[in-house]
Amino acid sequence: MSYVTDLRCRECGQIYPIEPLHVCETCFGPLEVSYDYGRIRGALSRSTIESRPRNLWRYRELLPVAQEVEMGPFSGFTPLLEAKRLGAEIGLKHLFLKDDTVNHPTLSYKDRVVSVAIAKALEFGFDTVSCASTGNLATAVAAHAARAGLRCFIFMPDGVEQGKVVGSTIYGAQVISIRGNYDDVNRLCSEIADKYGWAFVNINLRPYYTEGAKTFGFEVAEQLGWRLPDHIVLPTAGGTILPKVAKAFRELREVGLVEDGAARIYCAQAAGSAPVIRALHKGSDLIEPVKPDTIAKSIAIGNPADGFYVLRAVRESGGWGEAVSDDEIVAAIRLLARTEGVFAEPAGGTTLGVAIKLVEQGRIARDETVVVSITGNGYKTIEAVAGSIEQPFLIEARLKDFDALFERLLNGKRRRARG
Amino acid sequence: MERVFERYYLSYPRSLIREPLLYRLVKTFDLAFNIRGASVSEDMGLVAIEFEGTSAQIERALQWLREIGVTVEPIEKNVIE
Repeated sequence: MSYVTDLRCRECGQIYPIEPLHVCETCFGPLEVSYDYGRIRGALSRSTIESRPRNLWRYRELLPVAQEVEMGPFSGFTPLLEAKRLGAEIGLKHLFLKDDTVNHPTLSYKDRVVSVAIAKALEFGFDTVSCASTGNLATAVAAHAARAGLRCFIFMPDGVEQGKVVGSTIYGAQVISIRGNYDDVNRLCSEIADKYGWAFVNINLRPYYTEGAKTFGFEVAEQLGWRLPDHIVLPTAGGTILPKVAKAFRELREVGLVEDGAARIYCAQAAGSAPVIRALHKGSDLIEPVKPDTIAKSIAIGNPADGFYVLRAVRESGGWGEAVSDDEIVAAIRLLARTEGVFAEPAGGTTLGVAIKLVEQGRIARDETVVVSITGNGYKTIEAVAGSIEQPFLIEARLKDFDALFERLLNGKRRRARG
Repeated sequence: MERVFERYYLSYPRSLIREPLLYRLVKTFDLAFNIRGASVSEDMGLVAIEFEGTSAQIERALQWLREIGVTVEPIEKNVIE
């Protein structure tokens, strides 16, 4: 059973049926899924949710999928780790990491949005799914399409690293490299989506796809014992996850799953691709497109589709946003790995780097509950940190050689401690 | 030639906000257009627009807009994620 009522334009409020539509024909505003919260309130309780399997479909009443879901059964419900050692280093008493580095099956937050998009594609009767991507999205779409038995086309700008291509072709997807810059690829994909009638997960299925991001917020609240954190730091690329976590928190209050309460929401971007942060700091509603230049490739989007809604959600929550340099991102990745045993891709270094900045600025109080979002796995982006990692020591296979090295290491440690 | 409708977001940098670009575009390329949404600040302008013309006309017009410094994108903006 579905509790969805219709699609609505976020700008002018015009109502559309539940179809593969994504923009308002009148004002070109994005369409958003609406629900009958009154009925959901009567049908859904904490105990119902807690009795279900530990995946994102445990919140199915608040997702836009009507039929019994077969897709992505293990996506979602990733750990919320209490980060005591990291918290002690950066001066926070109640720090948590929402750890999507272990999301199933492709180790990033994209498994959430793609799970919902592919389930919806099956429901609409599509036989082909597609996306334009340089990384995490491509991998997630390819893997989920394989499991669903759907044909899959992935479009990539020419010159994307071999590893990224392998990450999709291994699942049987047809990968197409396109000559030209990112703008050309964008335009072509919009045209293909229009002409071929495929399910482009983040174009014509975008209203459904983005709803999957709410599960990140639902889980945070449930894992905190059905309450909202005081602060949550989220990355911004295309602008999907942050406004949807805000929507998730609003919905949890609306249907009575959490008491009234509010989380301040913070936007994190890499300094080399920070159009939303620039607009936020200027106090503007208009986002000036930029040409990204950062190691944080998975969040390097120069003109975010939903950037305006990120600004709105941040401001309404009383939050803020910051950008961090590539050096700060690498330092944060290393700090996270060293203190908590979590290896994040640069998007995770960005959120942690920004959290550190916000604590230093006094925007986040040290004794409040803080969630830092880690949305992708560092094993996919080894190249981002490889240059900053110390080389291993090389010794002969003799105990005395190791004894000598160990002594040297101990002395070095003592010298550092004295210094 | 078949006439088509194409939808775009145009972002104007600060230096072009006071220029009557759409007037010049219509005079030069003989296109019809329909503005569906617009927002202008002192730093930039953003216009959601639908063009009507032949594909070749629209392509030439977009090329001209890009050359003078306007960012032209599909209404989905960046879809590469």
